[in-house]
Formats: sequence, C-alpha cells, structure tokens
Amino acid sequence: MKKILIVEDNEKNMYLISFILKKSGYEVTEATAGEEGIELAMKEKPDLIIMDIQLPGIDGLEATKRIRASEADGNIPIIALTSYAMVGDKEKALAAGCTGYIEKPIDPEAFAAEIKKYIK
Amino acid sequence: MPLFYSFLNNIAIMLAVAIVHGFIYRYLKDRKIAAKIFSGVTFSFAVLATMSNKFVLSPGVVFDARSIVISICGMFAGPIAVFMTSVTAIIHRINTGGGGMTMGILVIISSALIGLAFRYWRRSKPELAKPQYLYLLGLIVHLNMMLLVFTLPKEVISQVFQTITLPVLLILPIGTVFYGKLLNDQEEQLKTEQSLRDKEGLLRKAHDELELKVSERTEELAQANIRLQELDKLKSMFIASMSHELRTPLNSIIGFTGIILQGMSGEVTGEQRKQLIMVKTSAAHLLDLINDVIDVSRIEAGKVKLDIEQFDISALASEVKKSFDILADEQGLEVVLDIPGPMRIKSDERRTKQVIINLVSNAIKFTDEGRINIKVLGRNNKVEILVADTGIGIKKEDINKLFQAFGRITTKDRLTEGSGLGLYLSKKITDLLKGQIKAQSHFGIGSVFTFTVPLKYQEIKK
Repeated sequence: MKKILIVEDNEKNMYLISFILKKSGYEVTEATAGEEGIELAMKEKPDLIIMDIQLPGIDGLEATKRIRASEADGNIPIIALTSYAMVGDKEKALAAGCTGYIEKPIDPEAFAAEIKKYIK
Repeated sequence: MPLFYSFLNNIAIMLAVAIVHGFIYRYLKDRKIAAKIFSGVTFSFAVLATMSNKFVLSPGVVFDARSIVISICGMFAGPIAVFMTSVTAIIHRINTGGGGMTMGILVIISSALIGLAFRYWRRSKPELAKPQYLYLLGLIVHLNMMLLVFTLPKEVISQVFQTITLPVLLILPIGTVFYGKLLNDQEEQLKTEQSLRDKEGLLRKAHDELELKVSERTEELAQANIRLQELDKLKSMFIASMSHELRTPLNSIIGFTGIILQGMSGEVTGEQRKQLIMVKTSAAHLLDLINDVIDVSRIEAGKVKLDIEQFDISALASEVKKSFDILADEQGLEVVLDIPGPMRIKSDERRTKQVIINLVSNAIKFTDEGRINIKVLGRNNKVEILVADTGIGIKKEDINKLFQAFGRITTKDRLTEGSGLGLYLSKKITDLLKGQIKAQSHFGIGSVFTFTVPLKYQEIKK
C-alpha cells in the first residue's frame, strides 16, 4: 500500500484530504506543521507528500526546500496546495522544488485521480 | 613761481598720504572709533607734511595747502578727525609763530568748519561728492582764505594779495577737487566692497537655506516613498490574505458535499442528494464570486500582469463555444459559431478567454429561447468578437449601468445568480488589453455585445 504524507494545519482540510485518500486505498500520515512534516518525510519516506503552502512556523515552500536539500536520491513527489493568492505563487512553488500544485478549494471528484498521476 | 611749486608739492604729498590711508583704512572699517582716530592721525600727518613744505613770503608769513587737507578732512572724515587735524595744525602754526599766525589759525578753523558744513550738507544731497561741488568747496574755502588776508599785519597785506591771489584761487580749488575725488573714490570702493560682501553673505545664506530645504524635501520624499512601498505591500498582502481566508471554508463545503454525493460516506437518499446538490451549486457560485472579487481587487490595485503571446483567436472562440455546448443544450438554446480561418493575434490569451466566457455565459443566462451567435472578424488592425443573443434585452436607460460594479438593472422580474461584477471585470480587463467593449440591445428582443482588441497588443511607453 502506497504511503502519503499530508502536511496541513487546518484540521477540516486535513480530515477531508485524509478521508479521500484513505478511501482511495492509500496509507496516510499526518503532520500539522512544517517542522513535523520535514521530520516525518525523512523518517517515513512516503511515496508522495501533499504540502499546504500556508503553514504556521516555517511555510510549505521552506519545508519543501529543506526536504529537497536532505534527499540523497529518489525525489519524493511533492504536491503544493495553493490558494491562488498572488501572482507567481505557482512559479514560486515549482521553484522551491514542488513537483506539481493543486489549487484550493480542491475538487473532491478529481482529487484522487490527480494524485494518482503524481505518485511514484 | 616758488609758491606755485610749493602748492603742487603739497598736493602731491596729500594725495600720497591719502593713498596710504586708503590701504590701511579697510582693515579698520569695522571699528568705527578706531577708524576715525586713524583717519585723524593720517590727516594730521598730511597737514604736517604740507605745512613743512611751505612757501615763506617773509618770516612769519607762510603759505601752504593746509586749507585743502583740513576742509576735505572735515567733509570726508568727520568731526573727530578734523578736530585732531586742526589741533595738530594749530599747534604747529603757533610753533612757527610770526605775524601771520592769527590768519593761519583762522584759516585752519574756518576751513574745518566749512568742511564740516559740506559734510552735513552732503547727507541730504549726496551729489556733493561730485567734482563740481568739490570745486565749489575749494572755491569757498579759498575765497574765505583771501578774506582772512585782512587779518595780516597791515604792511604785508598788499604784497600778499599780489603774490598769492592767483595761485591760491587757481590751483588750490583744483587741488581740493583731486583730493576730494580721491577720498570719495576710496569711500565708494569700500562701500562697493562692503555691498558685495553683504550680497555674498545674503546669497550664501539663501543658498544654505535652499540646500536645507532641498535636503528636507528629499528626506520627506524618501519617507513618502517608503510609506508608499509599504502601502503597496500591505495591499498585496491584504488581497492574498483575503483570497486565502475566503477559500479555506469553501474547501470544506465543496469537499465534503462532493464526498457525500459520491457515496464515500455511506448511502445517500434521493432527497439528501437533491439538497446536497443545491449546497454544491451554491458553493460553486460562491467560489465564482470570490474569484471575481479577488480578480477585481488585483486589477484595481494594479497588480495584474498581462501574459502577451501570439495565439489563434478563432480557435479560442471555438474552444469557448464547445465548453458551453452542454449548458446551452440543457436550456434548449442553439449556439452558432461564425469564424474566419485561423487568425493569429498578439494579446493575453487567458484574459481574452475570460471576457468571451463572461459574454457567452451572460447570453445563455439571459436567453430563454432562440440562439446565441458568436462571431469573430478582423477589421482595421483590430479583431471584433460579437456575442449576440435573442434574449430578454436591456432597456436603453440601463445600458450605461451595465459595466458598473454591482449595477443591477431591470430584468423582467428575473433573479439572476450573478456577482454583479462580471461585466465590470470584463470592462477592466478590456481596458488592460487596450481594447473596447460595448453593448447594443432592444428590450425584449435581444442584445449584441461587441468586444474589440488590437491585433497586436502594444505597450504604450510614456
């Protein structure tokens, strides 16, 4: 069973994404902050990481950069969750090392299919 | 003849002394009393010099140009100096002694007084420093001197008149003019120098004040600039926060209704499904509103950058038409596309698409039956996209309100789900694309919206 790490501070969003992914047959690990996310990424080595950009403490972009910096080989796909706030958000996500991005609010019908595209 | 030469000698000495005086005087000009005393000393020296180079008619009857020195001293140097000079002259004359002593002393005193008189007269009449008036001074002083000849011992009076009258009245007044002119010129020069210094001082002061003002203004401008930049940043952050905050709850609403409707949380009854769909559509509508509001905010804040590229406008129109096929079909409407072959234009594809979608969406929304026409044509360096419908139309008086934000108009008792921002946003985008948008309509019959963009978007550099 493939493992997905979700880094998201909003508990409702976390519940939503977690629910969809579990129903789609993935094993889910949850982190509610950037630092926790980096730890779990390194410890658990998930098959995909969903990274919310707006996080307390260090934000999603910074967490992504640090995860990328610590990886030896075999990059984990990191999907950024953006809220299309500012021009250049998407570009910044990709520049920080994200593999792709999904805009909030997420489409519950299409979400699982999009994740399937990115997962190793 | 000796008297003649003696007088000339005297005049030369006086002038020389005056020049030296001029050199030194400028250093004392700030100390008024010291300056006067210095003048007194110099004139005293001059008077002694002239009285030492005297013409001796007979023992005790001597003549020199002291009258010039003293009268000019009185006129130009003032009471203190003329007093000192007169006293010096009188002492020297008494020392010389002789029968002409009385006349000598009287000449000294009267020359001093006449000089002082001219000094005070000059206060109300500055032209007195001019040569003609100096000559007048010389004349008065020396006519007076000739009168005082009568104070000499009777036996010499006639001889004196014969000897000195011509030289005195001819040479000494001219000597007065030269002496006076020299002193006047020195005075003028000092005045000019002072005036220049004063002006320089004023200029420097004005310059310093100006520099101060400039640096103050520059500081103010720098501060204002910083504030503006901060404000701009705040604006960006505000819009970003707004966007994020508004979308976050929608995530739950759209997400969970979606999950439930897919049956992922258990079975859903028919009625539950029906109601959940209503929630879902409302949420989707809310999302549209949020997107429009954020978009408008960003455009108003000047934070929208266009992505100018070449693209095929005919293909774009076709794409938009296709995306509305299902919806139009549901409402029993026909959508007709009228495009020329591929037409490449240079503009922002995404934003152009946004406007066309808005127009077509409105057309479908406000048409109950009939057809929607989407037409593309190129004309005069521009491309026109027309969206015509057989809808409910717009009243003449409402056409102006169409493109205003939240401008609600009479729609034949219809409550339409719109943000009120659609056309406003389209207008703003059209302005950004340097195009035009307009509406024509017959109430109850239909409308035509014409959206025009330049074939080649051009940035106008100021």
